[in-house]
Parts: sequence; C-alpha cells; structure tokens
Amino acid sequence: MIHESLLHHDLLFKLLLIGDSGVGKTCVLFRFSDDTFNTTFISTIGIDFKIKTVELQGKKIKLQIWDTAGQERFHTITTSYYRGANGILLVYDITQPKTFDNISKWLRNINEHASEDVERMLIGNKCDMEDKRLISEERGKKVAEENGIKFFETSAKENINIELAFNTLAEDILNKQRPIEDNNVATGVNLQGGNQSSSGGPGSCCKL
Amino acid sequence: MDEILSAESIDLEELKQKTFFGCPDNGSTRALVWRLILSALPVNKAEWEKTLESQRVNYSTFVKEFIIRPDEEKNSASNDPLSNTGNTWDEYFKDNDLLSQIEKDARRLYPDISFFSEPAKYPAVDFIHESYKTGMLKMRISKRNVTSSQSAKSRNGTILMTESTNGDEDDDQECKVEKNWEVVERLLFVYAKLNQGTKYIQGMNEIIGPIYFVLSQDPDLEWSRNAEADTFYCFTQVMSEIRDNFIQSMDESTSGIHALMAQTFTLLKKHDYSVWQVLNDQEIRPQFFLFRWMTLLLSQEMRIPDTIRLWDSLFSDSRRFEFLKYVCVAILTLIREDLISGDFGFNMKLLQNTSDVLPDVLIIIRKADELRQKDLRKNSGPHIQLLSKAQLAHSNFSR
Repeated sequence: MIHESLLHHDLLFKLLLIGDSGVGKTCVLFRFSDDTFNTTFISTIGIDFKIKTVELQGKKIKLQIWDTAGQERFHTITTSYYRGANGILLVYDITQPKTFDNISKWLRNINEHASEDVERMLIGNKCDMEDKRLISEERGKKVAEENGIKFFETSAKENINIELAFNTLAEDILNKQRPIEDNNVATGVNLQGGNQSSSGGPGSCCKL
Repeated sequence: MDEILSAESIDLEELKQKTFFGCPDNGSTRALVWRLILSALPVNKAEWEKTLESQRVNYSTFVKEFIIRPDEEKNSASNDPLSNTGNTWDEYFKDNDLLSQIEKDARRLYPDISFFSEPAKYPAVDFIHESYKTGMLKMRISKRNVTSSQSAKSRNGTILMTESTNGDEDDDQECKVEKNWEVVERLLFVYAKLNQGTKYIQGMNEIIGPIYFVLSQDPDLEWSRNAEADTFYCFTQVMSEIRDNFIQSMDESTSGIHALMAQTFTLLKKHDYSVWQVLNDQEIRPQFFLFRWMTLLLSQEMRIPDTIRLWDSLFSDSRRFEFLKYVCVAILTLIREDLISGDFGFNMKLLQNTSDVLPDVLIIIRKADELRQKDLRKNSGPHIQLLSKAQLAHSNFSR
C-alpha cells in the first residue's frame, strides 16, 4: 500500500498552486484530488501537498500538487518550490478585484523563480458566484492572452472546469516533454518502478 | 496546584513545574495559570487588581482608538464625498484591507468545533461602550466592497451599491449578536494596529484562538467577562517570544524560523538517526512540515483539547520554547515505523496530516520529556546544572 508500484512509462509532474490568500487554492485542490468541497478550510500555512494520478494519452501520470500560502510573508518559503515545478496554476477570485490586480505580481514571481519552460495557467475561481462577480470573464481572458497562457474560470464549489484545468495543464506539460522523451530516455521524466531511495522534493524535478 | 495558587505571592517556578504535567480540565485553574505563567498577571496577588484594571482599561482604549473613533470620523465625513481628504481616509482604507485579511482567517478558525461560531458571552457592547455598535467590525467588512481602496477604483459601481444595500439589511439583524470569531478578529486587528512591524500574519489566528478559548470558558464569570482584554495580554506575551517565526526578514537570522527548524532536524538526527536519514534521503525538507508545526505551536496538528494540554507544557517550559523542538522530534520518533517504510508521497501525506495517526498527547509529551532529560543528563553546562537542581528539589518535595 505504501509503495505504489509504477509502470516504466509512468510520469511524475509537479504542479504548484499560487495566488492571493482566500482565492480558494486549497478548495480547488481538494475538489480535484478528493472531489469534495468544504467552505471551512483553515488557512494554509507554508505549504500543503497532494498526489493524484491521472491517465492521459494512455499514460499514467502522477501529479504531485503543492498548495502554497498566499500571504506575502510566506513567499520566501514558497518561492523555493517554483524551481522544480513543471506547471503552475495562478488562481484569482472573480469576486475580489485585488486578487486579479495582483496577477502581474505573481507572474513576475514565476519569471524570477520558476524554470523557463514551466507551463503556466490562469484560473478565475468562484465563477458560481455570478451575483458577486467583479471581474468579467473577458478581462481574465485578455490578461491570459497578453501573457500567452491558458485560462479557465472555475468553481470548486460547483465543480466547474476543475478537472479540465488540471488535465489540460498536465497534457500541455506532457506534449512539451514528449519530444525530449523520445530522443533521450534519460532526461529524468521516466520513473523507475518503486525506487524508494530516490527522492521527490520540489527541488528535484521529475524524480520520485 | 491549588496550594501553589493559594499563596499570597505565587512561586512561579514551582507553578511551572506543576503545570508542565497539565492543568485540570475543569474549573478556572488553567485560565488563571496561563495568565500567570505568561506574565499577563503578576505573581503577587496584592498587585492583581491594579494590574488587571489598568490592562483592561488600556485594551478598551485601544479598541476605541483603532475601531470606534475612525468609524465615527468616517461616518461624520461620509455625507460629503468631497471632504474625503488626507491621511485619515487613506488609513481607513488600508485598515479595511488589513481587516478583510484578518476576517477571512478568523472566520475559518477551528471549523471542527462550534465554539468560534457561537455568540460571545460578553460582546464588546457590554464591556467597552454602548456606541461600539457604530464601529463593529462586521459593519465595516460588509461594506468593504464600497469602501476599501481597491474596490473604490472598481468600475462596476452599480453592482457594488446593490451589494452594500443587501449587506446592510443582514447587518441590522445580525449586529445584535457578536460571535466568538468576531472577538478574535477584533483582538487581531488591535494587535496589528499596535504592532506595525509585524501587523497581521496568517497563523496568528491559530495562536490566539486556543488562548481565547481557554480564558472565555472560565466558569468564574468575574474572570471570563474580561476574557477578551486578558487574552490580548496573554497573546501579546506569547507573540513577543515567537514573533520572529512570523517575520519574513527574520527568516535567516539565528532566532528565525529556519534556524529553529534546522535545530530541530539536528536534534532528530541525534535522537533518531534512521528517521532523519529517511527524511534526508527523500529530500523532505523541514519547511515542508516543520514550518507549520513550529510556527503554530502544533495547533493545526491536533484537536483543540490536545493543543491546550500540550500548551500547558510548552508555556511552562523555563526556556520557552525550547521544549517545542523536543515535542516535534518526539512526534517523528513515535511515527518512525511508518516513516521508515514510507516513500516520499506517503511520508509527505503523513507529516501534513498527523492528527489521524498521532498517539495520545500525553504519550507525545512524555516522549519529548524523556528525550530532553536524556540531553540534560549528557550535558553539563551551567544552565543545565541549575535545572537539575530545581528538579531535584522538586522530587524531594514530592517525596
């Protein structure tokens, strides 16, 4: 039970959730990993961690998802996770304009701390709260386009687009890695089955 | 313990030694003892009345200064938007941003128990001022879409106004009741206003929560009706000792959280090399779990009665919060079998969700004490000698 046996072609992607505090990062993650929603999540201090395995293009992909605290204070702790991430989901709250205004700040953070080929995605969460919406979908789309990244509006509460967002991100990472993988098997994206002694901190990309 | 507390001048060292083994769960003892060992109450009983009086008056002055007065000023100016000039408004808006951050966290404090969403026994209207209603934080929060700095710039004015009208109707009904989490919110806001260097950092709510929980449930009404003000002073004392954990610029200093986590890992290496090696090999860094454990004094890792029992021991540590490191190491050694056989994913899950697997809190404390005693015996520094003497005296006394 403890050692999950992995096929030779299983892959491990490290994903990171970032964004202002209270935008619903933890809720998005719980909806995706456990298919539950709870309005009463305690605030994330430092980082949290979940694993979910998905199947894409006939491959089993293990997603290791790191959920970060949003408040400025935690940035020195959380930015150290950027480096090893294959994908980053940047979340804002469509009912809180300030969380939208801060997108550029978060994108700068990604540029500074993440590896160059990291897949980025913008998420406008809480899209079930139409009556409290203060950021239109168009504005979200526009910012995403300007930065050349994909965009989804999601609702962790109503389970809208959550799985689609994660799967799309994972697929984009997969497609990006494929040519490398075909040319050179030893790039580190392939996992050796159940090799317990190797590790998987965010600093060590693609190992488990 | 009653004997120690009945003295005119309380022996603090003796009280700490006793408290280490836990306060009784019923009665008023714990609330009193925490005030004493956190130095929010002098050991000399003759000074109690004067000290408490002045602390409580001070606190209500802070509330008036930081919450009621700005609100009244704003209300008197609000009829004329053109009079919105200068720093008062700037500050009011900035405060609202701070407040909305605190509100989010105070609201989601201990969702597994009902206490924080229950009405407070002694709401502010009672103990501060009838006019507190005008400055009730929830009124500000519900209007924050209209008044906070970022939303004021928003283009979508129509929606904003509709929002605030709806909000006001709810408030009229709701403002008669103040919930416990709203008391916590006010406490944190006052603390943030008074401590501009730290302001509010997420996680402070998890420190103040259990303190307020203990003080406000004191069956002695004379004490519990002042729970809010007294919590403020206990919290301020605790923060003065753990503040560096919360301050980003202190992270790399010798008293910062990174040093604390590193020391704990060193301690683990010494007491359980195999567990240390597993964590090290799997590149499970201290900040993946110890950061939260230590910053919050383990309050998110266990249920509130256990946290409170643990804090009896942590607060009575004569070298506060040295014992915390031993508690963290004790936890790791108590779940060592799982950790040693687990892979990275399994272990991360385990370390981040310990509440399901942790043994009884008393076992953890006993184990931590055992590890500490081991180190004390090995070590012969001057401080240690002093401690051993005290312990010797204690054991003689009990005989």
